Amino acid sequence: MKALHRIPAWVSLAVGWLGFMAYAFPGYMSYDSVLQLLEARAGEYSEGHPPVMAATWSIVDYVIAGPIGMLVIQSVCFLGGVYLIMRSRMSAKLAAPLASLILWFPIVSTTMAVIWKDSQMAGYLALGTGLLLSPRRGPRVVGLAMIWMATAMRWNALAMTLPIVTILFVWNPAYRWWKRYSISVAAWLAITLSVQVASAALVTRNAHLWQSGMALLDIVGTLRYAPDLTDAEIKTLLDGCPLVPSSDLQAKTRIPIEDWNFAAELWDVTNGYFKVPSNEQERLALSGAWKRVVIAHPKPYLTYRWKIFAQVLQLPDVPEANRGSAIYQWFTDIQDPVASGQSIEHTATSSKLQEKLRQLMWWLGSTRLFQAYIYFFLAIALLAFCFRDRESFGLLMSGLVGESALFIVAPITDWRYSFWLVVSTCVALALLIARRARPRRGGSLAGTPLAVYKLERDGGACRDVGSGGCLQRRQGDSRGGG
Amino acid sequence: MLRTVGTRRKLPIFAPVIRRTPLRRAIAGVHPWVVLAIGWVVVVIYAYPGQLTFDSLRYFVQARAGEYSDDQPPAIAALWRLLEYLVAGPCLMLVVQVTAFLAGLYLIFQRSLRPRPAACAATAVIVFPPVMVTMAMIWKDSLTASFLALGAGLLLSAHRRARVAGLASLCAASAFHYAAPVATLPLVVILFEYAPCATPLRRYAIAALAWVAITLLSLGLDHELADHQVHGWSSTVVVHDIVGTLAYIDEDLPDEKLKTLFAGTGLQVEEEIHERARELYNPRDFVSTIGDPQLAMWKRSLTGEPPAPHDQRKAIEAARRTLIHEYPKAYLKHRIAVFAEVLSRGGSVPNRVVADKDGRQILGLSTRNSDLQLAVTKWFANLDRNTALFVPGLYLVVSLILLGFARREREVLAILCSGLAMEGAVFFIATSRDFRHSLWMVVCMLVATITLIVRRAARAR
Repeated sequence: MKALHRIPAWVSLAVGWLGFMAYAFPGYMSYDSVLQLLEARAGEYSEGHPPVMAATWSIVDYVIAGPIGMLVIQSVCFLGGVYLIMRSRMSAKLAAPLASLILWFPIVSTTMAVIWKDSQMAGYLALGTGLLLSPRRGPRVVGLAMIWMATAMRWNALAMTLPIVTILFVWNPAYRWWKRYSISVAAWLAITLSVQVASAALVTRNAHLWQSGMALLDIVGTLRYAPDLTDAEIKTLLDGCPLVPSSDLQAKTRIPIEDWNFAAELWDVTNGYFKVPSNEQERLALSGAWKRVVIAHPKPYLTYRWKIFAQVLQLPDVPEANRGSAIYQWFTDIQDPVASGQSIEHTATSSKLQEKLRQLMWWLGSTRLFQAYIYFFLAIALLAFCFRDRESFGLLMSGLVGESALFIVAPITDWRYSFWLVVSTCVALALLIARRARPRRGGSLAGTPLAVYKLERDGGACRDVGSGGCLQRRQGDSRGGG
Repeated sequence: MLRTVGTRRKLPIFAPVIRRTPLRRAIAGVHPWVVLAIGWVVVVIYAYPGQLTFDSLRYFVQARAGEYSDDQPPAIAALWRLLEYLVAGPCLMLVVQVTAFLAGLYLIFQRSLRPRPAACAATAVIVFPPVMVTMAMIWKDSLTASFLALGAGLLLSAHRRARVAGLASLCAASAFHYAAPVATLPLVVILFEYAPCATPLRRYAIAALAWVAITLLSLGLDHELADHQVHGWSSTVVVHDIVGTLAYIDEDLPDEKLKTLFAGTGLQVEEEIHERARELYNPRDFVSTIGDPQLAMWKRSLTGEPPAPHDQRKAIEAARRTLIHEYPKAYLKHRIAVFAEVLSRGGSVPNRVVADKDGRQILGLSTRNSDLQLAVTKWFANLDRNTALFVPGLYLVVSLILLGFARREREVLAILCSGLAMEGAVFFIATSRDFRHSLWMVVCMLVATITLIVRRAARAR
C-alpha cells in the first residue's frame, strides 16, 4: 500500500489505460459494430441501433478512420469515470490503481474492448456518475451531459440513468430533500425526452424494428405458454398478420426447446412462424395482434419472458458439450471477416502479447466469472450494506434496474446486456469496502456535494472532504444556486 | 533546468509578442506537458496509424519474418519486431519516433527557454508542414531524425547518466541510417562532456573516442543483425554513379574500352554502351537505370534481391572506382546534378491514399485514411506546389548563413553542423530526390533559427 502511495495518480491511470490498450488495440468489431460504422460513413441512420452513436462515430471517423477513436473515447471515459467515483471515497493515489484494476477486470476489459453501444454507454455513464459526485456545480452539469450521451447510446439506458440521476444529482445541496429530488427527476425527464427527440431527428431510415422483431417473438412466446387455443381462435387473434403456417398454429409454437438455449430456438420458431411484415397494413395488424395476444394472456407472457430473462442471467445450466466462451474478440465481424474487413476498409492482426492476452481472456470467458447471476444476486445482497450510502446505493440500483428492464426488452441473451450490472456491482463493492475500511468524517456522504454542504453547516474543515471539495468553492456554488 | 554548457538566462520567448495581448493569460495557464501533448496528438492523428511506403513495407516484412537483410539498416526491422510484440502494425513505431522527436526538441529548447515556451517551440517545429509530413512516415530518415534530436537534447543535460543515454540514442540513430554517423560527429564532439571540469584537449579527446565507439557499435550491430548481405550499395549508388558519370563524359567512349572496363560485371548491353548509358540516366531517380530489364545495362532489382555474385559485385565496384578516377569532373557533374534535384522542389508530399491496399490487407494493416488526413494532405500538397516550404535548397542556404551567426553558440553550431554534415553525405549517396533526405537539415535549421532569435532578443534587452 505504501508503494502505491509513492506512484502519482496519473501514472497509475496511464499504466492502466495502456495495459488495457495492449489487449484491445485497435478495437474489436462485431456485426453490430461494422453495421454502425457503415451507417456512420454513409450518414444514413436507422433506428436499428441508436443513431447518436453512429453520428458520433461519423465525427470520430472523420478524424481517425476505423474503431480506434471510439475505443479511446469509451475507455478513457470509463477509466476517468471510475477514478472520479473512487475519489469520492479515497485518496487519488489509491483511487487511480483501483480504477485501473477495475478496467483490467476480465469481464470489464473484454467488453470495453469491443466497439458496442453497451461499452459506449458504460463509458459515458461511468464518467457521468463520477462527475455528478463532484462538489462543484460545473462538473455536475457536465456529468448530466455525459448521462445524456449514455442515454443516447442504448434504447434501454433510461432505466440505468434513472437511479443515477435521481439519487446522485444535486443542483444545490442547501435545498430541502423534496426540492432536490424534484429537480433531479426533472433533470432525468429532460435528458430522456431530449434524447428521444434527438434520436428521432437523426433517423433517416425507419427499419420498424419492433414490428419486425420483438413483437413477433412476444406473440410466439406468449402463444407457446397460453392455454390451448384452436386455429380459428389464433387466426382471429392474428388477423392480418403475415403468417407462414396455416394449421396447427399453437402446436407449432410448442416444439421442445432446451432452457439453456431458449432464446435462440424460440427465434428459430418465430422466423418460421411469421414473414417479416412488408407494408404498413401488416405492421398495423401485428401491433394490434400483439395487444390482443399479450394483454389477454399476461401469465403466459410473463412465463415466456422469465425463460428469456433466466437465460440473460445464465441461470440454466449449459451442457458441457455446448459451453463456450462469453468473449468476443475479433477485429471484424467473425461471421464474415474478409467481406466485413473489406467493406469498412479495416484489417488488423494481434501482436504476440495481444494473442496471449486473448487466449487468457478466452479461457476466463468460459469460467464462472462470466455468470451474470452472480453479479445480480451480489448486487441485491450489497443493497443491505448501503444504508446511508447514496453513491453505492445509486450505482447498485442503476445496475439492478437496468438488468430488470431486460426482463421486458431483451430480444436475445448476449452477455454484454448485463455489462453495466457487473460494472456497477464491482464499483459499488469497492466503495463499500473503502467505506468500511476507512470511515471518514462526513460519514457515508464523504466527498459528495451533500457532504461538503453538511461539513460547512457543521463547521467542518475543508480537508476532510474526500474528493477535494472546498468550502470556498461550495460557497460560490451555493450563491450561484440562489 | 540543469545546464552544463555556459550559463545563460532563460527567456520567455514569446513574451514580447504576447505581453499585452489576451493570449498571454490563456497561454500562461497551460502546463508545458499539455502543450507537448497537443503537438503529439496533432501529429499522431495526422499520421495514424503510421504511413507506409515501399521502403517501410520492406522493413515491416523483414520484422514480421525475423530475417533481416542489409539493403536497409536491419536495426529498424529489429526495433519494429520488438515493438510488434506489443502492438501489431506500424502504430508503435510512429509513437516511438514522434515521442522521441518531440522530447528531444523540448530538451534542446529548454537550454534557451523556460519550460512552457520550450514546449511551444518544440510543438511548432513538429507541426511545421515539411517536418510533420515526413514524421508521419515510417522511414529510416524520420526515425533517425527522432533519435538524433533526442540524443542532442540529452547530451545537453547536466546529469552524466542522461548524457550517456544521449550517446545511446545517437548510437541508435547511427544504426538506423548508414549516413547518420556524419550527423552524430558534430553533436558528440562539440556537445558531449563526460566530466565538465576536464581540460578542452581531454574533453574533445573523450568526445571523439565516444563518437568512434558509438559508430563502431552501430555498424557492428547492423552487421550482426543482418542475416544475409544483399549489398544494396552495388545495386543502387554504384550503378547510378557509373551511368551518371558516363552521361557527363563529353566524348563517346568506344564499346571496346567499356567492355574491358565492365568485364565480369554482367553487362547486358553489347553495342553502343555509352549511348545506352546516356539514354538511361536520370539524375532524379536511379530506378530508370535498372527499372526496365530489357534496357538496363545490368540486371539488378530495386531491393538488391537476389544479391549479385561476389566477383560480379567486386568487378562493378572496381569499374566505378576506375571511372571516377579517370573522369572526376564527370562524376562531380553527375553528383551535383543529383544533389540539385535533391535540393529542388517536387515529390515532397507523399501520396496519402494508400496505394498497396491488397498488400496491406494481407499484412493485417488498416487500409483507410480519414477524411481529415486526406484534407490536411491536400493542403500540404498545395503548400508544396505554391510555396517554397518544401524546397530543401532554401533550408541549406539559410543554414549556411546561420553558421556565421552561430560561431559563439556552441549548441547551435553543433546542431547546424550536424544538419549540414548529413546533407553533405546526401551529396555522395543520394540516388533520388526525396525530401526526406533533407529532413534532419531542415529540423536543425529550424532549431538553430529559433534558438538564435531567442538569444539575440535576450541580449538586445
